[in-house]
Amino acid sequence: MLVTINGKKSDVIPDSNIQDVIRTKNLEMTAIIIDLNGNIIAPEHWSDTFLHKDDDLEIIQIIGGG
Amino acid sequence: MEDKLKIGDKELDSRLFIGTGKFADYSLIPKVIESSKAQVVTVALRRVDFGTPEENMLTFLSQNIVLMPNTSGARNASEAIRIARIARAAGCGNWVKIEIINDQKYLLPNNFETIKAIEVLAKDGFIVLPYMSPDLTAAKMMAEAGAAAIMPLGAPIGTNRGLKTRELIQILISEINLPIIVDAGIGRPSEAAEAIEMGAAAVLVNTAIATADDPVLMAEAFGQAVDAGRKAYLAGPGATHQFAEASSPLTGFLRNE
Repeated sequence: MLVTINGKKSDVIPDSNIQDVIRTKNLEMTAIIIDLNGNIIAPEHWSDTFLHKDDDLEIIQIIGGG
Repeated sequence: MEDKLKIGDKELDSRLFIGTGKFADYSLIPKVIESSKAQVVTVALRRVDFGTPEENMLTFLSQNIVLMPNTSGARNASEAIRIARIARAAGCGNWVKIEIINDQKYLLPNNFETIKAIEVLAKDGFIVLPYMSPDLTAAKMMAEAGAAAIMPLGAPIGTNRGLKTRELIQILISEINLPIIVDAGIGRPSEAAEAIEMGAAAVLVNTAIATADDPVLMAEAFGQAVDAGRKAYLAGPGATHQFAEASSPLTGFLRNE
């Protein structure tokens, strides 16, 4: 199933939730922000938010900046 | 002496804001904040690079710091608004530095799109601090749109060239009834002192500290320069004159006039 992750088309297993995607990317859970189709998803809902075809997922982090 | 800088819902003792970009090592940042006594710190948001994820900046910042996420990367108002909302939802608080840039050579901000973003974000409960090109009309429109402070550039970002826009910033200080914070371009503590001495409410410094040989010592120097500049501003500098005005008696008591 194709979704967009950080601007790139990505193939994910159907019925994946956000937590599954984060796990496959080996990301540290406490360090990231999830925006799905323009809505922020709180960490407690990552495991019950399922991805659908053509979803737009942004995985964001806070870094140094001026 | 009670001399606080009030912005939005905060009362600050320090008039030095610090940017956290370009540091060779994030572990320097807590030391820089401590030595400079800064209370407001900028951060940025980025898409995670799955190849080389960076460390989470927030783990290096203490709870009592005021976070000011910037909207760097935004090319128009709607992108800036989206970044601001993501930052707030991510626990960065309600302060935001609007930074909307279309010009990659000089990184000069787009005042027009910035005004649009301020209108939306101020109504949405943000404390909005716009990075801007020093222009009186734009600054007035930003104030009307709900900005909490105005942040004109001293020189292009990262150039360490100082207060090249001094005259224009002076006009903003005299005409705009909001804190004027010089953001970008300040390269040396003497320039920070100069900005505060002429009435700027604060300065935002990043590159000058991050790229110094000893960032922690340079941060301390900036903190002291800003304090000195503020004291000089409050003390009220004496008038300037074209010709000499003797500081010692000139009566010639060892010779006959």
